[in-house]
Amino acid sequence: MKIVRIIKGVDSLLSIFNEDEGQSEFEHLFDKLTNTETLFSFFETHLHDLQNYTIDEAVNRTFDDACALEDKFYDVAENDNVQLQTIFKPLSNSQYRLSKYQRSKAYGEVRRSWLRVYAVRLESDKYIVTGGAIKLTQTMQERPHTQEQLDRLTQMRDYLIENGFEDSDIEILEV
Amino acid sequence: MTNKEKREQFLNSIEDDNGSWLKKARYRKENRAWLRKSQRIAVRILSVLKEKGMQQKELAEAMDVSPQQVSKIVKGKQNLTLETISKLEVVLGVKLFEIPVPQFEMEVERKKVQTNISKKKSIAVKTNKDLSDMYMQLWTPSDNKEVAA
Repeated sequence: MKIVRIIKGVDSLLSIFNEDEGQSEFEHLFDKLTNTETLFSFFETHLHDLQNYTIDEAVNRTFDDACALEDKFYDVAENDNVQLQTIFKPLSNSQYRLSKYQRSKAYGEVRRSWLRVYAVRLESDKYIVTGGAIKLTQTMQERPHTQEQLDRLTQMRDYLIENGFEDSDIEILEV
Repeated sequence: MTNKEKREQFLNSIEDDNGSWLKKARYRKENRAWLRKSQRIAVRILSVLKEKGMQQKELAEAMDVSPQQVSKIVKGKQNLTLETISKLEVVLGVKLFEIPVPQFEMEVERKKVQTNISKKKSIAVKTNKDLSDMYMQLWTPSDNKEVAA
């Protein structure tokens, strides 16, 4: 598995390299999220998961969310003061303990956004993006495209353990 | 190999990407205004093609452009010319781009028409469409004669 720095010289934002596409998963994700034809086709396939949205509205909403999300990462790239920790949140809302290899997801502008960027946090400030998805269901297991993302996260975690990292947890304090 | 050595080896294996995401993100940010319009037009085109059961290839033939050109348009990343938009509108039979009439111009037109109407006859103006219809009536050649008379 090849891992690359998305921003030259910056070790905090990393990504799996997609050999088939010849680009990082991170770059590939935003290429897809800004491609009208790709999104239109996706929402045609997942029409039954769209509640109160037409395909046109869903595509346009996705563009708006993708712009907002990409802007956040762009700010990280352009501004040293912006931390990735402010973008990523724990994957499971009910989790109280952050693993050393915490599976994380980045949200769009608002909590209700259906866009997801998935990453594994390594050490304190290294985020390895494994991919992303438009999540229209309550859980990731309900649809193949989100299940695939979940599998990737697990594979990434296993890969890190193979490479000498430990699965020990970091305890979080609660005020 | 110890775990520490494995970790070091792993971290040393991380390479710099070619930086193309950053370049693309900058481009998308700087060109967002027209890209969003291009995306909205592309969504509309795809919807109409779906409604009509028309293939992109057929659209290309009807527009007398290459299928590659249509493929680029429906991705929503093309800086479309007015000529291309007009061709698309004719072939698809729908409006893709409209210039709204500014409020100030509307007010001036409303006053002009209302003045002419009051000279001619008393007609209630209810909507902009009514206004537009009456404006057209007032400026047709036969009507001009009538107003002048």
